[in-house]
Amino acid sequence: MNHRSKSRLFSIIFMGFGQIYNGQYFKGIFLALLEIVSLCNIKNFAVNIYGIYTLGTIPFHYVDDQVVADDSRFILIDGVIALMILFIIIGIYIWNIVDAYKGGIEFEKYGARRESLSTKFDKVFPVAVMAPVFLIIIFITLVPLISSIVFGFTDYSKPDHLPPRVLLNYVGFDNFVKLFSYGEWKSTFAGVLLWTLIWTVTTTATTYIFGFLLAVFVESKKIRFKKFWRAILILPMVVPGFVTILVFKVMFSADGAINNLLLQLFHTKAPWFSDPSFARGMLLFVNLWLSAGGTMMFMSGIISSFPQDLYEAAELDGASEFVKMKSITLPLVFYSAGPLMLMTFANNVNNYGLIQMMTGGDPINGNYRYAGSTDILSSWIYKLTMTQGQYNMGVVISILLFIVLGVFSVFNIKNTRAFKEEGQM
Amino acid sequence: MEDTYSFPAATNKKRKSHLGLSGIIIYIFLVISCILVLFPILWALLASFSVGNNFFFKDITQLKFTLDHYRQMFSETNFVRSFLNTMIVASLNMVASVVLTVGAAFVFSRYRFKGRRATLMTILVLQMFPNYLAMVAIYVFLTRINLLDSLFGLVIIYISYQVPFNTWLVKGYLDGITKSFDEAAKIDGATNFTIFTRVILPLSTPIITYVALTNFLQPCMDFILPQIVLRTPGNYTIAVMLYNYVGDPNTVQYTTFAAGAIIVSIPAIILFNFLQKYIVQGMSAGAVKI
Repeated sequence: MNHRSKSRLFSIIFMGFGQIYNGQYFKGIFLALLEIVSLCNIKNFAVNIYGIYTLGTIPFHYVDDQVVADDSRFILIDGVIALMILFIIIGIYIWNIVDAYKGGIEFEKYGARRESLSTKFDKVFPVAVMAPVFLIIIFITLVPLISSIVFGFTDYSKPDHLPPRVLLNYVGFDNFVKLFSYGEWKSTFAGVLLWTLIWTVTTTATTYIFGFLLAVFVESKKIRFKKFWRAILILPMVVPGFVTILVFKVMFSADGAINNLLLQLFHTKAPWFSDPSFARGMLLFVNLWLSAGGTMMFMSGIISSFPQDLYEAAELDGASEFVKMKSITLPLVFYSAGPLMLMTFANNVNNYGLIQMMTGGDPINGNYRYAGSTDILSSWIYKLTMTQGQYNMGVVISILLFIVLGVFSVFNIKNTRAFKEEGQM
Repeated sequence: MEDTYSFPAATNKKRKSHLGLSGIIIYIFLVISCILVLFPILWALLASFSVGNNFFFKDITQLKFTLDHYRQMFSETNFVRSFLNTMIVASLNMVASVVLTVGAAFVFSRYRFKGRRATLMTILVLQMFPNYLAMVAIYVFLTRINLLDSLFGLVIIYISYQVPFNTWLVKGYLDGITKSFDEAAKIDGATNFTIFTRVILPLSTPIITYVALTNFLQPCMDFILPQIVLRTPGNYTIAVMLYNYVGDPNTVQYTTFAAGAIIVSIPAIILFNFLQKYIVQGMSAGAVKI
């Protein structure tokens, strides 16, 4: 058996031994210590990971006036964390075997050699830079994500299934079935879904149409003081969004400035927050106000980057302003803005901040369960989770929504330059 | 931005002479748009200076000027505390995002290792996950690690959201910096670390500024995540504080709220004007590519 196979074998038997055999003492001892620590904790790993399956075994009871109970939520999170750590250790173990083999080849060639500190540092540098990013992604992004998804398959909800009072149970796909077939859940889901579709299409369309018109008009040759118009129209982008939303909320309120103006002009008030249609119209207007300026700026950028000779050639052929806009500007803009439009579409589906802040999903709808007339799917999810305590249903709807958006996004990403360039490497 | 449609003075004059119907329509459209844009801003501005509890446009003739509402915002509400909280969260998020992502992006852009493509794709998919998907567990998770209702907990969640997207963004930018610089430095005996600090970092100032700026502004503008994480008024960020102020019908003074809105907007407007150049550069450098 040659040196490289031996060092690989040593590393399979115990992490780090192959490295020590290759003369890489520091690395070897570090890996060996890691394995020792992991082996000492093997029982903890088993208990925690088994917890994902049981979700706790000790029901809520008192011992000498002290509460004793397993909190299923924490048990699940601990289990997922343990699982992640286990994956990382397995990953390091596999890498350790490969590394020992490679180290063995080096050893056969050059013998045990001491690398200078700066060479060592240079080898450690990428690992040191990547490690925190990996850890953050695994423990702070993935752990809550996975735990959340698991909650969708449990009975975690108010009022009867709230840990630590009771232990959670797995219910399989019952929550999905409930959403699609139970009377009130079903009608709420259908209603909210319909409004989500209308909301998304309308917001995307209005933003783009107005953004495009504003851009074309401001860039038009007939218009003077371009900087002045631009400076005003860009204001919605500059003022913090939550500030404007709250200002609008105050202005649209029953005794607010807008109703006051209507009262003077038409001797009537509008029920902005109590009538579903008015509330929806108001939300669409506020959304347009917030996003048209940004779209205008983006489209102005595109328009001003167009080659001028196209327009000059069209002018020579006697094209009118309208024809130039229709046959040159419009197709070129939509060609460049296409991918962004898809992104805007997805953003509008997820834009629950606006609805949450303005109306909170209200006015109340008698046919809905846990949702109001202006709730879109994402704001409904927020509500179910934050105020209604229907955690499991919130997750179920998130999963469904994400599957739809995910297909959409994958399609979108596959067409981006970033992805294609990466694919060629 | 430069005017690409500018013409010599003579032609300009000639064009102006036949403004035409379409020109008039365009002007009317622009004027109406500008009125609509200025309407709420003007309301907030006038309301913040006017006496009383609420402000209506019909009062405009008998407007009484006062600075009381600004004084009230500072003395009678949690405004200053919330403002400081927001600055703390925003600064920490900015620093952490830059430090974490630039190095990782450099490694993704310049090193070739097994699993690189898979990792990149995972990151790309992760940044697509909308934040409500993990909402339930974020709450439980922060409770578990005892960081619920703390600014630090909020920062951690922000960072975890930013890292995937920013890594892609910066990596895209670094890919655009030609590798012949690296090779030249390597011939001169530079290590990877020196290439990173001496070659790549100085060349990527625009994208770093962009990442720093967006990650500073994002927590300032956000309302949803602080609402989930922060529970006690002393920990509120400015958005949550103002939202709760407006939402409480017993104590709300719309004119005082308007003063708060103006105070918050001014730094944002100044910052935007200063950094507009970088925003546009960054957008065209990285974001448009995605």
